[in-house]
Amino acid sequence: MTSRTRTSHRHRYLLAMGVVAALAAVGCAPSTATNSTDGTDAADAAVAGPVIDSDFDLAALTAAAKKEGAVTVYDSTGDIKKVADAFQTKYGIKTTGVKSDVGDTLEKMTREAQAKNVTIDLTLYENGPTLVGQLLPQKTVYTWIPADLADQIDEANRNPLMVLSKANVWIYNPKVFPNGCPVDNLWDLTSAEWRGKVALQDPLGKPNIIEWFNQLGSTYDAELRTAYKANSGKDLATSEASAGKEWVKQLAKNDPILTAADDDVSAAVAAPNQTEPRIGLVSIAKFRDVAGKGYKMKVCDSLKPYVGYQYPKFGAIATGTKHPNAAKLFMHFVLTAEGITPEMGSGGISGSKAVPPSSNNPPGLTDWSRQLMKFDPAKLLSDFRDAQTMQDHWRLNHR
Amino acid sequence: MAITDARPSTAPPPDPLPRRTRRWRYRLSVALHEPTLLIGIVLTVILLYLVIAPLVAVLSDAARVQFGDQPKTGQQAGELTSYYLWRVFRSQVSSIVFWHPLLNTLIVAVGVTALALLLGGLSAFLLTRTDIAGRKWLSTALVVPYMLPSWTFALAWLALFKNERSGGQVGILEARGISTPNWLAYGAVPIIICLGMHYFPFVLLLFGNALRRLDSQLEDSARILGARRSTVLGRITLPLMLPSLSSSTLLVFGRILGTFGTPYILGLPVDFNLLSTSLFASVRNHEPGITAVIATVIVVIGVAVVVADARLLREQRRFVTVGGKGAMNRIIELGRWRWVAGGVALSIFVFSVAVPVLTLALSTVTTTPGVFSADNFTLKYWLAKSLPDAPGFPHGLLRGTELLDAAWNSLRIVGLAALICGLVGLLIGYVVVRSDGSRVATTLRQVSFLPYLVPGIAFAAAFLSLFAVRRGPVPALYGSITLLVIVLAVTHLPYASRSGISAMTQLGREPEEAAQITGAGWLTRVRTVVIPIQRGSLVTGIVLPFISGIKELSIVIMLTTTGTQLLTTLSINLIDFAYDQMANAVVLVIALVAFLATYLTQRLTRTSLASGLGG
Repeated sequence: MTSRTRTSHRHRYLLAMGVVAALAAVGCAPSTATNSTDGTDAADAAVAGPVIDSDFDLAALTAAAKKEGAVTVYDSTGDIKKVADAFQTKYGIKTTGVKSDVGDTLEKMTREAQAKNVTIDLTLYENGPTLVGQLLPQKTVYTWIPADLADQIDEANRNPLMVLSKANVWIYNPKVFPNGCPVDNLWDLTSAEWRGKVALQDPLGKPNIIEWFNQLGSTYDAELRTAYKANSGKDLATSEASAGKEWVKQLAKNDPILTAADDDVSAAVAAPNQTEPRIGLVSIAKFRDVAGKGYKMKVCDSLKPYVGYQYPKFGAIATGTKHPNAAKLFMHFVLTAEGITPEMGSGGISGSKAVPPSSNNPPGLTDWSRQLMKFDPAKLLSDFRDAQTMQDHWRLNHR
Repeated sequence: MAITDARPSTAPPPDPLPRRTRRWRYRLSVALHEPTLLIGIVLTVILLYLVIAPLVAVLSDAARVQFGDQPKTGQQAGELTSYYLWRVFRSQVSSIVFWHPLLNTLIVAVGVTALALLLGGLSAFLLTRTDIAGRKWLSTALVVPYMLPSWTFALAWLALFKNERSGGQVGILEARGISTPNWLAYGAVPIIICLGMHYFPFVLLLFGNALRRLDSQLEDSARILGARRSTVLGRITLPLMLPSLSSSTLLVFGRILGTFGTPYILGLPVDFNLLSTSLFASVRNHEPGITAVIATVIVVIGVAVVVADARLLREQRRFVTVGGKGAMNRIIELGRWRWVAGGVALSIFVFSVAVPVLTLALSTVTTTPGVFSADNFTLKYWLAKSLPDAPGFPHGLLRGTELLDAAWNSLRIVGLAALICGLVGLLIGYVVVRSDGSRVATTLRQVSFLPYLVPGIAFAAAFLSLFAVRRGPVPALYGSITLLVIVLAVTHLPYASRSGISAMTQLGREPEEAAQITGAGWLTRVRTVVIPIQRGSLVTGIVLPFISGIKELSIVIMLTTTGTQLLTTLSINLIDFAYDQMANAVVLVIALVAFLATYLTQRLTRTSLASGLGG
């Protein structure tokens, strides 16, 4: 075969390939974008309000749930297994609690809804922005509030339904700093003294840190400016849109230690053989390692304006669940003290006023409403829209 | 089976020109007796659906507005857009999201390939052409690095070199008071070393095989005619080795493009991103548009490498045919250098197997890593009845049924996928070789290799969207084990089809024709003639996908639903619970399963892995 004929064969072959590929593309592979909604106008669509059954009857719900026999719940904490066990013990319904990253939960629930092959019946979901930006408007999930507990849930926490408030706090090592936390102002963390010594989970991999950055700018601008003045004696001069963005920029430029998980942050600050001076941002759940692994850590209670932030965990039921009653009963369960206590091992505030706040607060954290920032639930949708902008802001300044 | 299946699909062959019906009828009757072409077409159609369609599904996201991105693009969901292209290639974050990762990917890919060629080439030469001490043992031992999950090396590296830069516990060296600089602990250098040690067995297998087949008489003739050693090496040996060199370069280079575990673990502390980690970040942030653009670039680079390789091979084809007749394999006697050479090979084994495995093993029995005092050693992570501080896994690894369940799931699912791979790979080999030069053969060969170039996570995302809903006769498979088996089979098919093609090249038509004369139908021929003769390569076509599949993570994590825990997902879950000790223990179990499966299969079938990879 001469090279000439080979070439022409090649071209024809390539052409044929192209035709086949194009046919395959048109015939059987629509984009993932098209089958996501049935014509509704996406994120701009108003999120449907919560469902409160008017004919609610707990006994009937329990009976129906028992008939369904099984329920699966996804959550981002491993404590969900304890909740699942408690639920199974109480009702005899086979319960599977799965710890899963919010991103994976989002992806899987979306795909399952598209496939009408739903295995995740409900989720306790920590990422409010994608909940109101993606899952709720796409009707992948809906908000259901048990009618008998509705009075106990504040109007602000109903849409979406907040099940629990958890907290991320700045911690220090009392063995390294026996006289208490070495910083007293959030702006200290951006100073040269703390360069390369502030540890936090990679914000690009942790949506609630990005959301916190956004809320710093939108809700807590004035307080950050006041804190700046208290720290340096002069007004903050910045070209950024908010004091929050300026703080994020300075932190990003201050060579922080980024980790893939906040376990590495707590280890970096508080491991038994740790001697470096460090400040770290961790979930209060990490305080279980104080007993388990001999970690030395305390909440940095002198930090102004706040020692950390509360982040909400929402409850939502899959629209296409095959166990609708069991899912509802589980939602009811986690809104009672019995159901949510396993998740409040190191503190937490239930979305229901009937459940007393946990007394298991870590050392240094005594008053949640005074010491912790709180996300404004009205800003969830704007947090969703601004997430990428804030990620880029972080990326561009952290290099 | 194949025949009846194939009938309807003869209608749209990959040929745009119309033909007359009479001609079709004749072709059909021939095809029934010699179904190679029919099988080829059926396989091509299936593969186009399973390989090309998912790719198109993912890649088409690059040009359409995704749900939730309406405000950013100012368009409605589903509309055509260039926003994602702009964001990846031109926006202010493009250098972070794309250009730097691209540069880093090229650096790492070249570095890893060079290191793998060096280590693999050296050990292949020593093992096949010299009387190195411990030759037989070493030829099994030096393939083991490939059986360890690639992120094992990264974990071991961190356990040794981690410094205060990345949070968590410091590594053993730092704990001993030896400070490790950032460039040594994280980034390009450790990534190249770790991946190089993981992938050199590829080179060893391929290159070693070619060296073994090289006829030393050719070199001898040149020497007799007065050529210098360097001339022999440059003019005879290297050109003859070029096909296998380029083949192994291709295999290693292709793998690097999609490997994400090691670069993520070792790159994060110093912000060192590759295209694969950038892809992972966009998958994790639920940005299908960005994912699609980056995946496209990776596929394009992969295809470019394959095309380059194909060109190179075509130039070299005439050399390859020289071997085969009256070959002589002359062993160089090293004399007292035997032991030195053995030492060199042994040290490769020590660094690529012993050190990582021992580091991991050590970490599973210490509470605080790097602290070697008596009260720090414990067997609780393996054996304890109860471990109070991790709610997700409240007892030692060997207690309870989790580990066994996961191992059984892994064996069952990956085993089935590997079996399918092996058989389909052989069929592909059969079709490609028997209808050599036809379009079906070319298409089949290239499409069956394509999955190798697509990163696992991109494929997983594609399969999610493709099988999330029912499409015509194909039901919504998401959430089923069937889907997992199909995806694993498709993504690991390249090993099997390579092995199948190279094996079938060596089998002439004669044995089959003899059977045909006695009246044997096609199925009987395959069952009684082809498969028995090709047993060795069939085993390779099953074992290689198995080894690779049992370590597979990115695909599995996207496609498993509750209740299907595999060994790899178990390991990742344990890391999520901050039980690094137990996660490492699971990794050791994975390596053990891969090794035992390989060893036993080779023993039972008297085959060797190397025999199948060539060509």
